[in-house]
Amino acid sequence: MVLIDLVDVTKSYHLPGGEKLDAVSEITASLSKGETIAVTGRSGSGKSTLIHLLAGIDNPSQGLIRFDGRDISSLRDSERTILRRDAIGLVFQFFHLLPHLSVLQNVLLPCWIAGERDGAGKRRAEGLLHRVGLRGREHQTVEKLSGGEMQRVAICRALVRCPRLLLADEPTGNLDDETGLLVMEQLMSLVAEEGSTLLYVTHSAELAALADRKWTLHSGRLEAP
Amino acid sequence: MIRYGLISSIAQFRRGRSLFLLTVGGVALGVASILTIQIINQNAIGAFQGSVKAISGASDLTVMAVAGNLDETIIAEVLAVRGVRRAWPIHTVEVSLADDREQFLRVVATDLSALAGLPWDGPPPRFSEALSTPGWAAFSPSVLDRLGLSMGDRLLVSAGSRSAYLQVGAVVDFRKLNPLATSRFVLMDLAQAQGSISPPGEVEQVEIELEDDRSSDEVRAALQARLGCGVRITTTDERTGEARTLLGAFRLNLTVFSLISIFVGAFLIYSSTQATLVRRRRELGVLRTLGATRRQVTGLLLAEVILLGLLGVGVGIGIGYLAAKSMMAEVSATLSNIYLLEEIERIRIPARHFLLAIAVGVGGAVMGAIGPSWEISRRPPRSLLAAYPLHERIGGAAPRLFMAGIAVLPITFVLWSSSLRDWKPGGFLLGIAILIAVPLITPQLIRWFFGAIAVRSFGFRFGLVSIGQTLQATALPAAALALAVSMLVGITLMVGSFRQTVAIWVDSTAQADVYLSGESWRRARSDAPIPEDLVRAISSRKGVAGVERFRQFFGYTGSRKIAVIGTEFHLPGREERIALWRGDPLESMRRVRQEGAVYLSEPLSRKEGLSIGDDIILSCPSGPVSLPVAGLYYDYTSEGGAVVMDLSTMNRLFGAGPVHSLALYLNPGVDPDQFIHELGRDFEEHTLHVRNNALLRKEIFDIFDQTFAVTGILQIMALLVAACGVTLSLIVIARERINELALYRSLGSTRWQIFRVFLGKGAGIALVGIILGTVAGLGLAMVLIYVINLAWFGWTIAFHWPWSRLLTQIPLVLLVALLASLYPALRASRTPAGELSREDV
Repeated sequence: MVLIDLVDVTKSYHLPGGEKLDAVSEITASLSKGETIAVTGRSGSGKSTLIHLLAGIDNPSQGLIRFDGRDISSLRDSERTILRRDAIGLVFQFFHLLPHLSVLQNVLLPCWIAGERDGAGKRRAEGLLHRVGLRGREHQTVEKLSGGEMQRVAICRALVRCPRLLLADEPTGNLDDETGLLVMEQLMSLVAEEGSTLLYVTHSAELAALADRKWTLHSGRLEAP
Repeated sequence: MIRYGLISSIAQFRRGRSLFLLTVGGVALGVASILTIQIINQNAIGAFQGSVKAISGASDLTVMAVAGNLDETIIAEVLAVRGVRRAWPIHTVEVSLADDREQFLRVVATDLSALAGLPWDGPPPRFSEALSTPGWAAFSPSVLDRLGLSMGDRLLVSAGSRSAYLQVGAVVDFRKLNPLATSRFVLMDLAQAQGSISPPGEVEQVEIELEDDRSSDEVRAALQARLGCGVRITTTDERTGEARTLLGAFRLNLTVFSLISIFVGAFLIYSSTQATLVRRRRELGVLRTLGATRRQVTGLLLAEVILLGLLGVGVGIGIGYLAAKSMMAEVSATLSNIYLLEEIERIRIPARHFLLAIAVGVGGAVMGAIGPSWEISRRPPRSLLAAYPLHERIGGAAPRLFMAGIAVLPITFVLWSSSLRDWKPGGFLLGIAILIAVPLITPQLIRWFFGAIAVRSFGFRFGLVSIGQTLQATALPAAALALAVSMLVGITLMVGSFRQTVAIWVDSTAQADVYLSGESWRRARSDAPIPEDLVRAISSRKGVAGVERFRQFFGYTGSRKIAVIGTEFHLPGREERIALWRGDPLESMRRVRQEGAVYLSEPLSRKEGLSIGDDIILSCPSGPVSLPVAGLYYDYTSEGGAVVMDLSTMNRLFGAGPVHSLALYLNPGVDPDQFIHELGRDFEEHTLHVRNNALLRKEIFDIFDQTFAVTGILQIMALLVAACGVTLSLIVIARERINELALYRSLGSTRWQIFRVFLGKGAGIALVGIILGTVAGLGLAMVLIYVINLAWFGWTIAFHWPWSRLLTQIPLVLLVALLASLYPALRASRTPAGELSREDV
């Protein structure tokens, strides 16, 4: 069953000189539920733009993106925000954890944003942290964690509200190879357990091989597999 | 580096317009509050000095009576002294207009023929006409303009119960002699004035011009020897000095209150510098990496702050001028009603005030910026290029700052009580200690307040909690707001307590049914007499149960000018109507009646260090007289001090004279309003100001409220500066934490949620500001009431809670803080999720 459908999606930016730059160009593709897809490509090939489009952070300049059959490119910003809150999880290369919150609070943040009561969310957050090996570290500040641990916290945060789609933008880009592989394995395993769909950006062929399918972007265009 | 500094400054101002505007606005308000008070203080003295110099003109010395007026025959005695080239009499009388008794003119009666070079506006008048036309007077152009008068018109005025017509005979403009002289001067011939509005045969002062080769001290000594101890010989500068001393406490207190605004403003600059530094951390890191020295980095930052300070000074001078102008009426009323000095009619900013504004604005800005600039310049370039901002530093220091803040209070108190209690400015140290303790205590208090709150949702409550986690950005505006609130609460408590104390005092002392004085009494005092036959006629009216007569003029004890009041103590229950601070009511009254002893007002007792059993030495026409002190009474009518004696003692010491006001007690069943109506009808030809008890109280509290209106403006200014601080800090948070906000957005938070987070931050800052500020304000009020007020004014004030005012002010502060949060909240809520960049939060 198709979760995401991209139809002729283009995202253009206007440069100061009046030129137009297509960060993503005429992409037509789809993701099925429960599938894992690795997106590869050189720097500047449009990988992050694609993630932003799928997350509803950006809107395509042309084409349409359907999420579970619903055209998200026609949604208002507030509707896309709600969609992101309720159905999409995001993992970033640089973790983006909040230094003034504890490990557990960082994971709970999406629950707070969604107005969930602490009870169920907290149990789930603690469960996820235990599963990624951070039992007993819940009340530490994130500054005391290693890079790998920080990314695991970020993954827990992304999964805490059981998103249907998990988007990860170079989740291991800031980690050494060994830690990166470990984190990626944990991510894949959690996604599989949760039954989510995963699309992740990576430069590593080894990590890309872990996915069910691979998309390669070249100058904003999706190369044929 | 200078070139880079210029480019960088312009870029900074372009990038952060709201930050820039708020900072300049904060400096401007701080400068304005100081400047407003300094302009008012300066012009209060300037108005007096200008008027004195305009009247006394080229005179070298002035002869005045130690109490009351001089006999005009003294001129012959003065001219007989060797070294006196010329002498001329002057008698000034405050007269009220018959059509509008709130308006007063100051008639300067002199020997017109003796004066040359008067500042006539137009052709000089013929003196024969001035002497022969009844009521001939020269008016200033602005009075003529204001009253719509022209040459030949007549104007009915009153002095005490006397009334007379003045006729416009010429135009004279004393402002040509001194620009700050009052426009209320009306010049007329002494002989004419004595026949209508001033006492016959008496003059207020004699001006003396010395021969060129004579020393002033020598002639002064000769004059004193010849004229005896019933006169004082002064110069215009000495009289200005007396006025300056008289206004000293009033001016100092206003100055201190205005300084609080600049203190609050310095916090604002500190905040904005911090914001700039956080934003430019990497830029500075790059500069340092490229070889810029610490000094260059500090210089760059301070140069920008100085530029901001100068812009703030420019705006602040404008605001200060306008604020001073808007407060002119209230301050003038205080000067004329409480201190009986000249009103301020014109505002001038002397050149030194521009320098003061620059010093305050730029100095305050540098003071606020120097710490953070120096600190960041000392950081290694690597740490400047690192990801985490500065906010954790204050968090780590919070417990130590708290302990220091708590320690400041007892240490200062012990220091003050052990060795500075008798030093008049010592009380200010206690106030300063509170103002220093507040910002030190704030960070830890924020942690305690908000650390315990559990976050369960993302919104208002999250905002509340997060202020404890971004102390560097939130502690300063909270402290600044707390300082502003402390000033608001402190002054409100002090003024409210004072008002209530005066209310109780009025209740116990003003018990007569009807009060009567000449219409010009409020300004003219001893020049507003009520003739004895009129007093007798009123006293013998049907319905009058008893009359208390009051005679009042100014006298001297040593060099201190005081009010000398004579009254009668024979009416039953009189001892209950003098609110004694020290002394036995019955025994003191017996001594006042039978032994010629006196009561001293509390301020006079405190300032002269006199108590029951001591003697006060009064300058009398016959020389200094020592009078025993029988009791000390509460008095809130003047801070200069007063001595009260039995009327018979006064007449014995100073000679018989008319009374100036009456208090009438009516028989039971007599309606005061009906009585007043009939009195007005039967004595229509006399210009009397008659009011019932309620109206007298209203007049008292109108004057009271007018006196403290100035502090209200200062309170508003401090609050506005603090509100700027709240807005500024939240904008800083919105800007510096743009990644964090983008993260919230990418995690699905709505704009409304982020808006509420920022409102929560604003409310949290307000809450800390209000709680800490209220406690600090209570402390400030205690210091103001029990230490500063007693030392400088000498008034006992009983502590009262003005609940209604406090309960309106506190929600107002909360509202101001929330309003100040709206713009940053709106900005923050507009952060797009796409702003999330590839760097750490």
